[in-house]
Amino acid sequence: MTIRKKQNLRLALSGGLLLLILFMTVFAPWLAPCDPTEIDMTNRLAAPGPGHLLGTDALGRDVLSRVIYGGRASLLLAVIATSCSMALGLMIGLAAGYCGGIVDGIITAISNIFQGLPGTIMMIALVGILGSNTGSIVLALVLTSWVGFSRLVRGEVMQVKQELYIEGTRCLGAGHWRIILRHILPNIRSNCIILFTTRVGRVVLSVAGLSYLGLGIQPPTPDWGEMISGSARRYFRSAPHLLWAPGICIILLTLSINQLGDALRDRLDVKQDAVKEL
Amino acid sequence: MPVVKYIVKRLLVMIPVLLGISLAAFLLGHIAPGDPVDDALARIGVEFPTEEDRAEMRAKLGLDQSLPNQYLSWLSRVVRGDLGNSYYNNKDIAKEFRARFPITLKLSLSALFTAVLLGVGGGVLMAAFRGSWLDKLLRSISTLLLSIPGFWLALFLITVFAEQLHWLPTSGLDRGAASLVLPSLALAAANVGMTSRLVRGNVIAQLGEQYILVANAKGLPQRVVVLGHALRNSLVPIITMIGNYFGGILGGSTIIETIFAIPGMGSYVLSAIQNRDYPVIQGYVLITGATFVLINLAIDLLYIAADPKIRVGGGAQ
Repeated sequence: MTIRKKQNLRLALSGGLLLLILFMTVFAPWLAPCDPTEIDMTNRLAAPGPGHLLGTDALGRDVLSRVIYGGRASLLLAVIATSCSMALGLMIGLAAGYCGGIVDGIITAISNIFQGLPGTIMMIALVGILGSNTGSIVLALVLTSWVGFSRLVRGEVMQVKQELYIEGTRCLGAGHWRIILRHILPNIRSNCIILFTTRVGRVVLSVAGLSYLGLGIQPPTPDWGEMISGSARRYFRSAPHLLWAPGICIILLTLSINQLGDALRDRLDVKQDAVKEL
Repeated sequence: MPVVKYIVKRLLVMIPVLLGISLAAFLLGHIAPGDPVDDALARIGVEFPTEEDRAEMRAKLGLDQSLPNQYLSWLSRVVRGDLGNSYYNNKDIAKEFRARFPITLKLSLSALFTAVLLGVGGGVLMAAFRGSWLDKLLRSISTLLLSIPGFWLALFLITVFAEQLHWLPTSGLDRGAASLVLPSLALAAANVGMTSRLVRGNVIAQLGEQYILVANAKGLPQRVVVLGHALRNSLVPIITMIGNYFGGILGGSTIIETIFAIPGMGSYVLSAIQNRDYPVIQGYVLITGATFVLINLAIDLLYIAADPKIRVGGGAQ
């Protein structure tokens, strides 16, 4: 098999798995056999079997339905938060890289401070103080991840800016916006797509961690992280399926996103550092 | 003296970051919902305060001053080790953190050590046996490790090694080093994945260099070529990454501590979040932030040993 074919296969496999999970979460209302929030105290902690294929949890809710619904909130949150971080990082990184000089100096100093703050800790603190609602989780995620994008964009812009053809277009009378929109942005597109993909994977894990701590997606909204935290922890000896089902879903989702990021990196042939294997 | 210059430069870079962390911690207290004056009065039993009560308390808390002044007086107290008293039980926060900090630090450092040991070991193995079944197996494992949530892995490890095999304790710290094995593994897992991939890539890149050809031509054993030459020369980017990982490990320890019932800073801050005990959250950000910066500084000093360019001038950025 040629390398190209192998890359295509990997892209197809990871993309296919991701699409499958996305399909499941998007069409959850049609796919789920039961209402994921319906409580049935007479049928608590039932083992997997007919009726409830993955059994029921400590409140008698159908685990399969909760698993099918469980990716919705965190995936949506991850995509929204990462898009916001990317938009913010793109603007700030463009400003720093294109303007250079004092603008770059100030932005770099601020980025250094943000990079010096441990992300998970800031996230826990921010959500802990502002309360766990969608707004504060997105804010915490954006504040802790815009720097990655702005660093990447700044470096790329500085490199592209020095290319001869940019000087050429400038000589032809192209304005700043034309250079940025038509020449610089297309050059950094692949890198941004890859970073976006890997960030979404990381954010999914972060949100799951927050939900596990009770700071992320709030019950009764079904969420994989929350499903593991609540009753699953207390009953996982007698009812291990409560731990397995949502855990495997998080792993498959993150795995497919990470693999897609790797496959895209190979496919788009991006030189990340000088080390392509990273 | 290039080494001294390098150290001084590193120390100077640290100052704005430390100030930034303190500013972040201060602002966190400021954006907290609720009126601090009413809250403070309610804590001393004044349920229906008059305007005079509120003005008096406002002055007492220093809230009648401008925001920069508030920050400066808060900072001067913090620098002297006064983190204030808990809103919840009025205990000295700094004292509580002093008892809990060593536990979290021990866990985090042990996880960092685990990550380096397994990550570098795995990475070197993969690079040395590039393309073999061992490389493929380890690469799949490292990819998998990157996708497993730490808390799920922790519960999995407890189920297997503590509940089924009874090799290691499920929780607590009373069995010394054995109690740290599972928490460290769970905390290090993602970083093992990242480090081993990074090490593999860097070592393979080095193995393609000319000097490796010379070393091989000299007839040096493969072990010396890989460990003594290729690994040695790929240390600098690896050390940089390890410093960055430590932040994630410190944050992740919050989750891992709750799972393994380890009485570190994480469990303290989580109960503080539940009790809306803001000064504790501020202290947590300050202490973990400062620790992160200091550990990074210590790791950066390792460059002096790893990168001879610093010793003769020039140096890593």
